[in-house]
Amino acid sequence: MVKKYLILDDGTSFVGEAFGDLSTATGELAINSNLNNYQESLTDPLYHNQIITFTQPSIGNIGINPKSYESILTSAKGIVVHQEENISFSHLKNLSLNSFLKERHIPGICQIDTRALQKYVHTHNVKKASIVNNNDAHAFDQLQASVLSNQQIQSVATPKPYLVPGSGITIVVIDLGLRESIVRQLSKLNCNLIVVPWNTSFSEIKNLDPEGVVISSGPGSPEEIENSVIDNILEIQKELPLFGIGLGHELIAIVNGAKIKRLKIGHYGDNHPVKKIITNEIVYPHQAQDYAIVTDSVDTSKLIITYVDLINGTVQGLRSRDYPTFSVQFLPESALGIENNLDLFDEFIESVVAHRRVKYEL
Amino acid sequence: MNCEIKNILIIGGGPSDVGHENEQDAAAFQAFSMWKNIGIKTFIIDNNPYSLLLQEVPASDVFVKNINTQNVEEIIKTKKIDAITSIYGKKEALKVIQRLNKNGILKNYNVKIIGLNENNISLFGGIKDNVDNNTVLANRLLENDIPILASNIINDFDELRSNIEKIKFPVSVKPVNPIKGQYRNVFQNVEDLNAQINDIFQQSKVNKISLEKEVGTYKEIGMVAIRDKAGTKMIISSLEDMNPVKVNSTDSVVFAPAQTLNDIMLQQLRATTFKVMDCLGIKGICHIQFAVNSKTDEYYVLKINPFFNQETSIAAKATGYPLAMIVASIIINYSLTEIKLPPKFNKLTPILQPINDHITVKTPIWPFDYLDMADSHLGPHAKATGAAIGVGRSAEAAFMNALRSSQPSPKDVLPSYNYLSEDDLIEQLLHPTDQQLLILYEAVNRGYSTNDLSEITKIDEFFFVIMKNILKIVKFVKDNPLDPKALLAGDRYGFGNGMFCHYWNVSNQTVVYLQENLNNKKTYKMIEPTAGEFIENTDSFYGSYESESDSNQLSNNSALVIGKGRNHLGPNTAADTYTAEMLIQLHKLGYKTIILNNNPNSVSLIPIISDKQYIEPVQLGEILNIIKLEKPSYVFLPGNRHYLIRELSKLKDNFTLIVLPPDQKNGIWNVPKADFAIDLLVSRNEIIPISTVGFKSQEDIDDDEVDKQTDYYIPFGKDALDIKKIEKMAKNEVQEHQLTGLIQVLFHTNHHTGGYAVSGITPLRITETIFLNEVTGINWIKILMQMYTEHFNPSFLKKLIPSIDSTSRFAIMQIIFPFKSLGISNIPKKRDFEIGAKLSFGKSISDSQKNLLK
Repeated sequence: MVKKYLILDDGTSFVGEAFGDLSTATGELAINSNLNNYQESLTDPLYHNQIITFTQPSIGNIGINPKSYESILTSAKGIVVHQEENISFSHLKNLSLNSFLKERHIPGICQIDTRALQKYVHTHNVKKASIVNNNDAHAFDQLQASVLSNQQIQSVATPKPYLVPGSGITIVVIDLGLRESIVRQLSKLNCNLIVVPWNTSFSEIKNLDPEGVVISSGPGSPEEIENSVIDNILEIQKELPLFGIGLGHELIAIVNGAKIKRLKIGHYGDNHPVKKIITNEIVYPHQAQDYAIVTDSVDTSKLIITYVDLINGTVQGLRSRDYPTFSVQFLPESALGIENNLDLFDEFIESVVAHRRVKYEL
Repeated sequence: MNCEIKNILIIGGGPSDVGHENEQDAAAFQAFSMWKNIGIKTFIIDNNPYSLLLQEVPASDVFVKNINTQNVEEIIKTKKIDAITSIYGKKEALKVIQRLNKNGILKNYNVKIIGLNENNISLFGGIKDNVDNNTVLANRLLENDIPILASNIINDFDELRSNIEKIKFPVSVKPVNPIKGQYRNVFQNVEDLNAQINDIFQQSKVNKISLEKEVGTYKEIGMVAIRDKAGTKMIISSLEDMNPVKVNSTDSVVFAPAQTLNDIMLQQLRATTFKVMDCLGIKGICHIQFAVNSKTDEYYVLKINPFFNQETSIAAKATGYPLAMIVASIIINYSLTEIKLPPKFNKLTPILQPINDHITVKTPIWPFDYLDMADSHLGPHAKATGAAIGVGRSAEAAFMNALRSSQPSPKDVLPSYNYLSEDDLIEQLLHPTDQQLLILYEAVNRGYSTNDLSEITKIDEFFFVIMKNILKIVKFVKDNPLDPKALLAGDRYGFGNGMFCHYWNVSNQTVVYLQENLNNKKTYKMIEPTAGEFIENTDSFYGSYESESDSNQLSNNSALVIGKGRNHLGPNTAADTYTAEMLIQLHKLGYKTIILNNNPNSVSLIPIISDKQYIEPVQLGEILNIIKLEKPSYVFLPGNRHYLIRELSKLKDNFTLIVLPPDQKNGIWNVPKADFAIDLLVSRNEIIPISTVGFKSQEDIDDDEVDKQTDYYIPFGKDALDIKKIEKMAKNEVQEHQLTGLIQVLFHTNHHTGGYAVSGITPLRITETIFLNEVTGINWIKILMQMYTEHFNPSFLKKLIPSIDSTSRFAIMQIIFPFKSLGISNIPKKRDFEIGAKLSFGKSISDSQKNLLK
């Protein structure tokens, strides 16, 4: 048993035990309350730069499963759990959460009072944390001095375009840190997908002749993204049906004049009720966000608020009044499209088909 | 919110039985208090004397009657009932409403069905149980793409032969309209099927067979969900049976939430649950049982239960979500966004989908210590009579806490089975009995690989890994007496001080001393539905050993009530109601009340009847830790816990220890025979006679053996009886033996001479105390609480007591037995074998006897 510490940037420390890789790490603290989706989270690019704390007390129960990747690479900096279960059910019997973390050089810390940590983070202003071997002044100094990379999208998004063939409509997916679930959902609808790097220009996209564009979710602050991306979205919006998710949603909001704020505490879970304004339906989607749109900054002559979180009041969905553009803050693809009220991908395809008709009529 | 409903009739759960304790009563009680707050009157029909509702609902609104169509119809005709519900009752309740709906009574009297959709009510009653009657339900589900196990009816041999190619094995085959009883065969391949198929065709009256995919080895997963009038749906909890589908859920260890399903499968089950509720228009609660194959990602809906049951109880206890209060509001047409909970809840609680930072494990409690002649093999029919839960911060700790909660005394909960031969062990693994858990531990301990064990038992490998982890720490603790590291490791895994004492042969004090030295302090974590995201003030806690405790001393003036925990056999549901009454009455006397208990189905753990609940094993180490934190003024301890009484008596300078419910062993017998008795209240200064009681045996009318007196009559009502003389004899007996509290003096009549003599004196039994409450309309537990806390006013009581035997109302309480459920016969009907009771009233003894059957 190797002792490890989780230290927070306000000077607090929690003692625990090492598992996974024995290195140290610094990142933003994200608290995830989902049940048994640790593998999805670890491999989801939107957790880039983050140390994930799981409120579920027993993590690792189902080992590592070839169908649960959100990407093949891992993006998280570290994980914090209460009880780590070293279990493997993979065919070759060698991949447990523990060995997976080792292989990916991700440090873990277990036997943390994660409930105390969760309560602490909710009442204090904590942003950064480190998993370290000593909780001495030096470690805290290093934590304070550390600067997390702001080249987050560059680190996780594909550097080259690639094709995911399908017999249906051609869709370009702009990869800002793509979760495979988005590809799965669109493939299920037979789309012919072309995934392009985050900085692909509008003219390049246009040359691929898609009928619609999806902007993926991804890590980090939307305000740190290069202006060219914003300009691109502005162009796309005018000409093609557009669907944004997560970070993509935040960017569409910015393009249409809204402002973004950082939440006091990021929210990663599926316990919040989200209301679909038009029908008053309440759903419990999978949410993963550190940033939110400032509600007052939404120009209602341009945008309609379509979904709202009933707990913290954040804008969860937008639709353009002028263009076939819509977006959601939550991750609709996580529900595997089997939930009737979250068939947003169907909605997108319908909007593509409708747009095609309009074009022909013109 | 404007609500047109003013009067609601609840059809109660009836007597307790195998698979049915107080869980429905607990939910109904919470509905009653929720509705009372908004001015809705609750009526209840039930014949279960141990129902807390019968104690707490005003007598004028209680109908002590058997649950059947005629009796319910009568109530509807005489009282102005606006709404009726079956979600707090068993199948009979549902059937009654189905009949009253069909024959138009509900429509004629303008009674709304709540909790179930009246257009769909005829669909319920099980998908599998009743293939022929439920094709409408099956079709409805299939139309909505909900996977169920469709039955194929095969008309003859030729048809079978032409279909045989398409059949995927294993299959389950049943004769349609069987000649005798239910009859089911599982076949693994064509050869086996061919060998027996002729016989099965012949078992059918119509020479047809029904063929179904066999899923007995699949995982059994439960989903407990709610849906409101706006169609908002949320999952309260997933539940995972450790045993596969072929073992009844009641008899399986259950984990909440599900531990071995990946996100994709959980999302699919969640979506399917919602789809089922939508397509059946359920407004209220629903528990759905699934069969899941993790290897092939298949799943099927096995059963839809749109009512409160033991699984919904586990979901509520495991999450801290105020499920019963929320459902009570939903069914009277509040949407989740409109519900107002008592102020201690965060106002967002109703609409937040529950999440947890702990794990809950349920273990079954068996009746076989008492009824060793019953077949203890686990199968499709439930046999467990009780349940205990353990809550912990890891699967291991929750499992150990549950195991310890299921034990009557602190000891090694994992005794060795090393005398079992290899063959016997394998046999037990393949055909599990009530000893299953210990056998599984033994197999892991002998070094069988977790993978092989999973293959043999069809239990997910995860559970064996958990057992292996626990056994590793058991060995570490055993091998390292008094070692700080061993203590830390054991505490972390929920061993409890009792196990250290046992393994190290030391006293509890020594263990506490070591823990204090190590600063390894017991912490309490709140059971609340947001996993720490919001500030909640629920009052339920469980123990862990961590850095921060959520529980502080409640008050300087508190009473700690130790529950009885496990229900095996005997008057346990009655004891639970007794405990609940103690809490209610102590609270009324101005004490802050704290309960320690671990039965998920109990009424005594209903959050609103006590100020604080600890869900922990009822063992010395746990009790002392709670006492240390709470510093209660009173500690109430059940009389059957002799070891605890002895140990806690040593600390009586710190609090007043009161043994209640009383210890029956304090009874003194001249002869263990009786045919009538007198109940008295004995305080330090007074002896107040209350009522006579008559006894009868269900075995043989002339049998006077006390153990066999399982029918109770109040009053005894024999005309020739000289009451004054009996009272005098009883008083003498009381004075001689110096017992206080509620006391029963028993008499035995000499059949030859007709004379009678005192045969014994005992503290009034739990069951009979509750019976006495119902008959006299006086809450005797309240009187006892007043007496023990120095608030008693005898002159006030005397005014209340009806003069003995002058009542015009006759009551009978009749014990019922679990023999039929357990498939045994020719067992003497003795008090020890009680599982529940029926109550009836009448204008005369014969009248109440008639009502018992009506």
